[in-house]
Amino acid sequence: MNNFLELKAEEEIKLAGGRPSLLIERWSQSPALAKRKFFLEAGAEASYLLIVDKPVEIDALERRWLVGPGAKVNLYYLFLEPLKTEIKFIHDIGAGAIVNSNSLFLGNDNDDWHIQAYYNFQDKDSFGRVKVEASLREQAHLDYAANMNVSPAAQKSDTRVDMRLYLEGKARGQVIPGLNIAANDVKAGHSASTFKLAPEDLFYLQSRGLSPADIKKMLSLSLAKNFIQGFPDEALSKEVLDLISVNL
Amino acid sequence: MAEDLKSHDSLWDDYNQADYMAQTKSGLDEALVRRISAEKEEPAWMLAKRLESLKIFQEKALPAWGPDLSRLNLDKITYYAKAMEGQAQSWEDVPADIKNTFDKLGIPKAEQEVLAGVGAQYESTVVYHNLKAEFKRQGVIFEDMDLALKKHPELVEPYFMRAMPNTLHKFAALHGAVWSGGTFLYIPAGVKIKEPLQAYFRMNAKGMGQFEHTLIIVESGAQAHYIEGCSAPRYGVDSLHAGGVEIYVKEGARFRYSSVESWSKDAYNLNTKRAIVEKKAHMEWVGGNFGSNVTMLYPCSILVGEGASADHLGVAFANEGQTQDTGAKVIHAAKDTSSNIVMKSISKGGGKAIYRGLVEVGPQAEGAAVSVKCDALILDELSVSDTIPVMKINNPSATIAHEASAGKINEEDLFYLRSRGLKEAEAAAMLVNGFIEPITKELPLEYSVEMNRMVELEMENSVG
Repeated sequence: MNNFLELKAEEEIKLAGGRPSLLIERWSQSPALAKRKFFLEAGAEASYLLIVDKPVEIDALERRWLVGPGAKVNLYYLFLEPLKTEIKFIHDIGAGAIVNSNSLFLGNDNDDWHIQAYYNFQDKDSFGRVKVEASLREQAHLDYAANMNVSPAAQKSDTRVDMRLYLEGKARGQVIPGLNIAANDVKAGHSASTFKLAPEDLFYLQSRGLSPADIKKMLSLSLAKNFIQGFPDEALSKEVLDLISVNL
Repeated sequence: MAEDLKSHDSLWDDYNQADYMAQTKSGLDEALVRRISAEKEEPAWMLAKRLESLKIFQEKALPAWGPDLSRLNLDKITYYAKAMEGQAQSWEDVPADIKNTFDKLGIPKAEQEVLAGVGAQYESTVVYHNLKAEFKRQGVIFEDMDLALKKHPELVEPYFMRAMPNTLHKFAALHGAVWSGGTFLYIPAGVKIKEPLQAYFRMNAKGMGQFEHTLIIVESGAQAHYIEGCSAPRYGVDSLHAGGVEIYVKEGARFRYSSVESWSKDAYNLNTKRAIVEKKAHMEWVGGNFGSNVTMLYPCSILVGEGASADHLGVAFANEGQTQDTGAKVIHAAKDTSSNIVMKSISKGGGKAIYRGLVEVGPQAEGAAVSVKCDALILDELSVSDTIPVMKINNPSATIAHEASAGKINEEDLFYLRSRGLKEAEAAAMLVNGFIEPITKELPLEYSVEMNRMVELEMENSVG
């Protein structure tokens, strides 16, 4: 696997077919670029991890992916620190290309995120799975609009977006799992939900000696484990899990 | 007229000569608003409300979102036209051509067979209104809205345009300025009416605008079901429907509002419907949108009382040249409120069906529960389906579940039905009727049959 553990300050990155690539952009360790564009050529394969773990003053955050025919990308967007700017993720997905996108937001205090995500299925047989999960506490706020755009040429594409929020205290969320479909022979689905522990589950966990703080931590860890599922590298999975645990 | 009808493609495309239109003119100004109010002999507060609304209408811009309304020429619309003087006491007193229209729509027959009461509006005024004597004895009021303003001002004034303020949007303001006719329904506390009440709104003349106002007050513990039907013939000239519906469901009451809207395919249907639902009360919206060039319609429930709940069930069918931008809006503003939204859309022949929804859970809405399900069928390569569900969650205790899917008719089901001898369009219509069955089953049988028939008409010439 080609590892690009510290992405350089390049605004455009081109990835060719052949060996899969792992790209990591961790803001506490690498330059926080406002905009980046990634080209995946036909048949290329990559995994990309963005970790916003350092508060950065930035005009915009935009990541654009051009996923060529038959290419595959697994995307992981992890937000541990707030951003005071609009965040935009754009994905142009070609014929037979696959995009798996996972986003996790762990928010406290007055953490606040505003995201517009576009998944543009532009050609036939394209595939996308988009998962957004958030655990928001105190006065944290997430505003996330996912736009699944299926063009007339994208027949037989298969798309799905699922959004789940766990809210506590005065935390707030606005989610829009939008579908815009201009092709008829497609599979398209979406869901949005909140989740919380059922009173009986809470009672059970407390009766086993877990404090409310332990239970909250456990919930967040379960989100984190969901997030790292499918990571291409075991050591990296552990590292990200540790990072999330420290931030809980 | 028979020759003309051949070129029309809607079930409701029959129309009458409209000699009364010679006394009207298109366009809107203050003089017209004052004339409407004067002809109706309205109280001063209503004239003031109309003039205030006109000012807001003139100041507000067209919505910056949703379907393109720039081709709607508001200067070409006739905002007020009376087809007859006064209101008939029986169907026999209704002029023959107008009665004939309602006969074809099946209204007098339905009145005799299944309805507790019926109202019929033709252009800007109500031509017939009746309520069965047994309900009158129980204190139910079912009137033409113009008459209700005269006879029951103490009931109208506190509620009129409170749920639907004239500042809501440009067409709510327009409605406030030129509203005419409509239904006033008052159900006293504890009265339960099993048979539905119905009003039918018919636009007949070319370039007409219809702005009926429906005001419904359901007192504590009462129950009723009200149905609205609407239609207009096609002329190839824009017409406009900007009706207003306000419903107040008091503590422990239950109310169902059903509508089957079949405007002509050159009508802009920019309708506003809102309900305020109090403690432990339940509001149910059941709607079918078939006609129109552009529809923008998002019935809204504002759940203000503890334990209040709302169901929104809807079907929209967008055929060639049509945009059906419909949906639901629920505002949870109290503890333990719940809402359930089920929407089905079908797009065909290049039609565009859009589900646009908003569910907002306020900070005070502890324990709110929301379920949203919207499914779309896209019948060919030309058609489009959008789903734009906004969920605003401002209370962590809310339980929200939203599910949606979009796709085409199942090929295997189609093949099976064809193997049983059905033509492709018949088989496709049957599958579409199965798709919308969760909604049609909530309607009385006659209306359910009507909705299925509309689907069959829309599916004619379909290739599945």
